[in-house]
Amino acid sequence: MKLIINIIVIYLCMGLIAHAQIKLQNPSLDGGNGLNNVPQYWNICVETPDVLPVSGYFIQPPYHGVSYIGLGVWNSLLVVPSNRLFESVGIFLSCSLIQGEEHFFNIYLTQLKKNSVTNGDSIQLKIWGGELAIQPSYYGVAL
Amino acid sequence: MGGGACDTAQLLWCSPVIKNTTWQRYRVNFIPNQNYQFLTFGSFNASAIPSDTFHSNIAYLGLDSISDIILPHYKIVKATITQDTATHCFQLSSTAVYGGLNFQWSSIPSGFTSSAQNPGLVCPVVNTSYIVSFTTPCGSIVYDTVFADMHTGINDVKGKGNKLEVYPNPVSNVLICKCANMLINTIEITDVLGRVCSNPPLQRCMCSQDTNWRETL
Repeated sequence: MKLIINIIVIYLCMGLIAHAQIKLQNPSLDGGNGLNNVPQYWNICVETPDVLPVSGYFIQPPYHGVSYIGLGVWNSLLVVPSNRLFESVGIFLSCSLIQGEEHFFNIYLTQLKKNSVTNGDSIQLKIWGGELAIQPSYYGVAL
Repeated sequence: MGGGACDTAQLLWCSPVIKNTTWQRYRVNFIPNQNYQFLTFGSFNASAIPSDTFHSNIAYLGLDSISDIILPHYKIVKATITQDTATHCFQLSSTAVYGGLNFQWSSIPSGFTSSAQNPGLVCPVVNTSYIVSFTTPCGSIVYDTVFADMHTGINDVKGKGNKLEVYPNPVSNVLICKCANMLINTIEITDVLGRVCSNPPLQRCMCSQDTNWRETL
């Protein structure tokens, strides 16, 4: 019986822990509920992302924890050339990605309803890799 | 927290259109072309946008509960085992992408532990898995496992029936124990005076120099 248990333990270990992992800080995106804000460890990249839910705006509960990040798409005459503002946030990794290697992770997404009303337009999430440097082109034109 | 556009050197992933108004899990797959240290998450809308609407919101996206980033085919730590032909024991060593951090070895069956990156010679008495754990700079613990097979790579193993084979005799440093056609949980070795030199149960057969032995099961 002991031998069987040992074999089971070996196979469990080999199956579960054979790969590398990179942990994010505050992956549940908790804390700092409010408009134009980000949770701890996260950075505002473009425009005014929000930490939700916020009463009177977005009241949809989080999938996990106490809050989540809301990213909007806006029209603005102030922005050229595309008239589009795409809100974005960013986070530094305590361990870097590995060039040329396959990576994957899971994220929970939803289209948000403002005051219980869905805007009804399509929205997508884009994810970029980069370094510390700030881009010279602001307001999301490069996005 | 800070402001300003963040570095978006490489677009790693673009989601499908998010139409669900309840939380759904999405799997993000990508292969970066650099060792990036920063991730940017941005909303995007590819559809035509009315130009006569000033600063009106078009759509909102909610993000929550991001899992660890997994590299399914990449080993941060790699354990290596080679058989020492002189002693019939095994050399354990490891390499890691990051240096200077914690290594911890253990074994199944239990009994062997080491905090050295390269523990050196081990002499198991049964087939044994050696597991090295390594703490990465971002705090996660990764593992690798090697297996010491007592029945391969040893040329002079012969069937002995229900017989325990222990050599060399006299022993100067490392004592090799083998058995055939039976399972042995514990082995106790005593010298000619009856003094036990291998209790608690053996994980490695180690007796002091000039010690004679007799086998007891």
